[in-house]
Amino acid sequence: MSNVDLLYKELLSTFPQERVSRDQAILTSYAMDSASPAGIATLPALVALPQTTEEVRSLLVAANRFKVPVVPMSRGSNLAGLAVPHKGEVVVDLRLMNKIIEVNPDAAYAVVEPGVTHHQLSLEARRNGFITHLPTATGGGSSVANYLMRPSGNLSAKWDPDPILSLEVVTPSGDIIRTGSASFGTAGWRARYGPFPDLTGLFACSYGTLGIVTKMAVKLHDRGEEERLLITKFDSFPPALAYMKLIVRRNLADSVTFWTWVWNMFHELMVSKSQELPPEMMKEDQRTPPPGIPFGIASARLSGYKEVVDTQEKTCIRLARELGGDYIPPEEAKARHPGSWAYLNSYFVDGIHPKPGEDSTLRAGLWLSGCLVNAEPSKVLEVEQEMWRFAEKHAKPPYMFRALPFNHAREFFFAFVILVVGSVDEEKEYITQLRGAYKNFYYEFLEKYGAIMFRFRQDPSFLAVTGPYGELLRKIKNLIDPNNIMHPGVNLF
Amino acid sequence: MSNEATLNKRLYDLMSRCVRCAQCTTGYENTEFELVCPIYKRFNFFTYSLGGIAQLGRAVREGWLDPTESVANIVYNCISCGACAEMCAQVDFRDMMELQHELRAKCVEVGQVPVAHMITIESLKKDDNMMQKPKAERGKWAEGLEVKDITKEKAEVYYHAGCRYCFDEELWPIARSAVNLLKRAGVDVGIAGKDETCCGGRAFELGYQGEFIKYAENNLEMLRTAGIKTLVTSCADGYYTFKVLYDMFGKRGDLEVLHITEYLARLIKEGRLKLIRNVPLTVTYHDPCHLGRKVEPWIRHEGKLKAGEIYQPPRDILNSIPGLKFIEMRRIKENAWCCGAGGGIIDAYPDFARWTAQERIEEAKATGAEVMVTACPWCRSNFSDALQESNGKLKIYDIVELVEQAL
Amino acid sequence: MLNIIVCIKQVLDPEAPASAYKIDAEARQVILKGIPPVISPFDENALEAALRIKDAHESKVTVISMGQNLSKPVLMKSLAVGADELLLLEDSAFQETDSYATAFILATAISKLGQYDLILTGREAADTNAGSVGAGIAEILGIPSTTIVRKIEVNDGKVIAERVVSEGYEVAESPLPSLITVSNELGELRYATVKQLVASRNKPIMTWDAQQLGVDASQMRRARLLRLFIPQKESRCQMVEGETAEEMGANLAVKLREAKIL
Repeated sequence: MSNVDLLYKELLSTFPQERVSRDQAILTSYAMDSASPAGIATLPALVALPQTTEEVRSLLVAANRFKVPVVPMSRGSNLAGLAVPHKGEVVVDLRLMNKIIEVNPDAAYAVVEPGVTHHQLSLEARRNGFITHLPTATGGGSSVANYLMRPSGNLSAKWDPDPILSLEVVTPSGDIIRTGSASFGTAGWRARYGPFPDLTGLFACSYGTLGIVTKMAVKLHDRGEEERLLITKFDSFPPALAYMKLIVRRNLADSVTFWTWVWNMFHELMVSKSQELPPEMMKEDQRTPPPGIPFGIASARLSGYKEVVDTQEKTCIRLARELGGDYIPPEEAKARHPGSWAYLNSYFVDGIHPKPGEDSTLRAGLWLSGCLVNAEPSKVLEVEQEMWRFAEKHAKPPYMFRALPFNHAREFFFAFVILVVGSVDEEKEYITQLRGAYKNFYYEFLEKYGAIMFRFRQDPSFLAVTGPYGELLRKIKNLIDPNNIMHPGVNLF
Repeated sequence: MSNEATLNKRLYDLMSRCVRCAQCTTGYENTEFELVCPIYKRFNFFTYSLGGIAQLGRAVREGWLDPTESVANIVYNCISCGACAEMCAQVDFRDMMELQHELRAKCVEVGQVPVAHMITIESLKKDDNMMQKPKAERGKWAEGLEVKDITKEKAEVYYHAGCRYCFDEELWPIARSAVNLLKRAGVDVGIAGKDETCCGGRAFELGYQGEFIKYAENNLEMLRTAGIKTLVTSCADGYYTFKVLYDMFGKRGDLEVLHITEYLARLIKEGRLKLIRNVPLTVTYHDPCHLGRKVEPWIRHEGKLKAGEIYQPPRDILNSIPGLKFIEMRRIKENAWCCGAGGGIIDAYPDFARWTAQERIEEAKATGAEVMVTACPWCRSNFSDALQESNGKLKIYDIVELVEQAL
Repeated sequence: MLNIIVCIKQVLDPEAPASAYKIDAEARQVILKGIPPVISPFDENALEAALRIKDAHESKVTVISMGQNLSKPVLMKSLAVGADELLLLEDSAFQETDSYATAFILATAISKLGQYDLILTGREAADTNAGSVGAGIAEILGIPSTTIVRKIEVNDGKVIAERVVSEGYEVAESPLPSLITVSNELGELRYATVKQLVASRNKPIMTWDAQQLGVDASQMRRARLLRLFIPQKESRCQMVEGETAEEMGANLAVKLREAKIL
């Protein structure tokens, strides 16, 4: 009997037949995500669907005993191969753990299980008079998984960029660890920091290599008496970045994001419901927007007392104009860019994550994330220029740029995405070529601009660049997971 | 039979773009009665969903998964209710239906079909009906009914009873009522009696596309010979078949296809049917999948007409019945929870069919209604069976029965 | 105990409507969507014949099927109705066979199985309608064969068969072992219940490929498929002119004479 056979036999004593399977047909949908190249998918050894933390614990203990590797999957909507097996691991599907355990209006937090979606949480927050941190992510994704990967946190201009408070994690040895104030039992989930080192941060961005997170407490934010969307336009990136810097440093908005004209065209598709991309998105020169359309817009969410919001709005408009940009009033925005207006309002004012059904970008093609890096503001300007050069050399339009402020005036992020339009079959070569071109990206960016990648790209040597820091992480990994059963295919360690 | 031929390129591209968001399974936010996909709710594994089945199709197409018995089991467990396609951003409704049709046709071609379906189809070939009953008894439901026989006389409108109505004695009164209502309103209606044959829709849904074509051609020939221009049926599946499937295969021609609720709503509006008696019941309405979702988005390839879902006419009828209190369930119209009878489920997976029906019954009971009304014989009999098993207190009526009570 | 062998062929449902047929001229293949494979109808009659003998005498019925992409669920119907074991001869090489090669392969398998008393096949396959494999097998095995049979009786090491002929039937007697090809007049195959279909999974199924059988199918072919096409049927209607029925009749007669039909 193989180790997997032994594990399966043991699982059948704790899991009912309806929640554990080795059937090849059932395993197929756990083998690939939309990033999986055609025909190259690895079936998991088996799939198990726990419903409680105790079941997760018994599963990990058994997997550890038989040394069978495990891939935790919260909801499986990751697009970069982080929730699929690479070497025939066992997939732990956490969808059935989808309860919002608690919403605490006094201390302003919610506790969720991994199967809870952004959409679900944002609606529940709204019902209680709050707004979530609004990461830019599809509404169908898992809040736990997404927050743990430090998403493009949109409300980071005002609020603490990391809204995670405490976690409950199950380790391969079967320990159930609670971090933050939750480690004290009766203190609840409300605080990230106590008198001891902060281990919540250890599990963030560990991509399932240190354990399975079964609960997460996340900060909810006040909605404010008044909520408004402010749109300003700019003809190029440098003034937009200067504007964003001012907003963030001087506490003028909850969020500010800069979207180039291609992004905004995407939003228009939601209104037209068209499956065809407009020809302008495919034109060679993507630096020049079509006539009558600004190069890019900055959208800012303003909230709070009416007097404060009015002042913030006036100030932002003044600053934008001083920098050479301009204000787009709501009536004009609604009339000329109805899709963008609707999308941004629903997201940033109502605070409702778009349901995947409303996110037209999914229809148009295959996402091939370019990259997301952070750097000093002046360096970010250079990154933008570099991105254009890369795109014009390697990519077929459309590609999109977006800039986000993140760590509250300390770093700025720049995101660059290529959308591969057309069939997966036909574009196989193009996709491989693009992926190849990315390989040295991060090393170059690090050297030239001091820019660091935002999310891990399954390249273990990038961790080695950090020297002693990476070494310490490796030691911690060996301590927590000596048999290396947790997501070995991710290549973090 | 190559994989490429069955699972075409366009579908394959769409399947490859599934991001596994599972939106296909969910209608609303996470409250009670929020899941809309029966197989997902019942079987838990992601494979039992539109996304999961899309992945299956992708794997078969890429050649690393054979259409085995377990694959067929998953494909055929899907009730093909279409709720998923309403929710999914990636695929249009037609694409989802096409995916199911392709996969099932493939299963048929490799002979990997649940045994119960093989038996049903064999019986269909012999007796021209889906109920495994003798052909000679098809006309019994109309015995004593004074109505034209279209094989012998000319009539303007043809009433197609459908296999379920013809052979389920419990349902005969409803079909008879429908015909009588039409006659009462002065419609020149005729039936085919024992010469009526199956519409072929279920065979198509089971993947037996060849069989379907035979029945389509046969029916069209019969109607053409009889000079029929308008077809009315009480069966939702039949309605979908004649209106959408026949059109998809270019076999419908100019035939006007109406469901009994459409026709009755029209007659009531025109004052040709007067509902005067009080019917003091509290009711809720179940939207049959084949009347709503599955008909709704069909647009003829030439780009003209929308087929038109039937959500409003039954509601108009209910609202015209004096004394009737009508409460909606939570999952209605395009979000309706399937009754569980479609796609061959009652033959191959009867437990699952009843489980699905029971879910809907709970939802109906939660509105406080004493009666659940529907407009399809398959829905009605599946609900009745489920209620019988669970000794439930809810009553099931076909909308025609209520109209009769209100005359 | 009698050892009866029945040869059955998996074909595309012959009741598929004509309009569903499409030809891939390049691949010389027929394309049908949503058409199931079935047991060739005359082979079902052969199986019924075997089961009737089994009803009357202690017998073991072995069913053999040769081809490619054989569908177990479809062929297992033979087990469900009462056959005892199923032998599948499956190899990609068995796809491109002609009647001779088919007969040879089946004969080889039959010999390999060991002792047999009676071999039954359908009179012809419902797709190719060649009708030669049955007699071909007998020829290769060197045993007598009787074709197009509607009734079979077995006793005392002999088989008595009623052959269908245009004016009625003729009765032929032959010693066992013998081969008979069966026609539909014998009677329909009995039904299998769901229970029997499910229980058939417990009966033995063997699969042999070309190597295990020891045949090189590529050497067996004697005929080559040149072309596959749907013939274009055209009909032109000529209206016969005339003022009266007698005139039209006369004109028609002239036309038929001109066409050399009269």
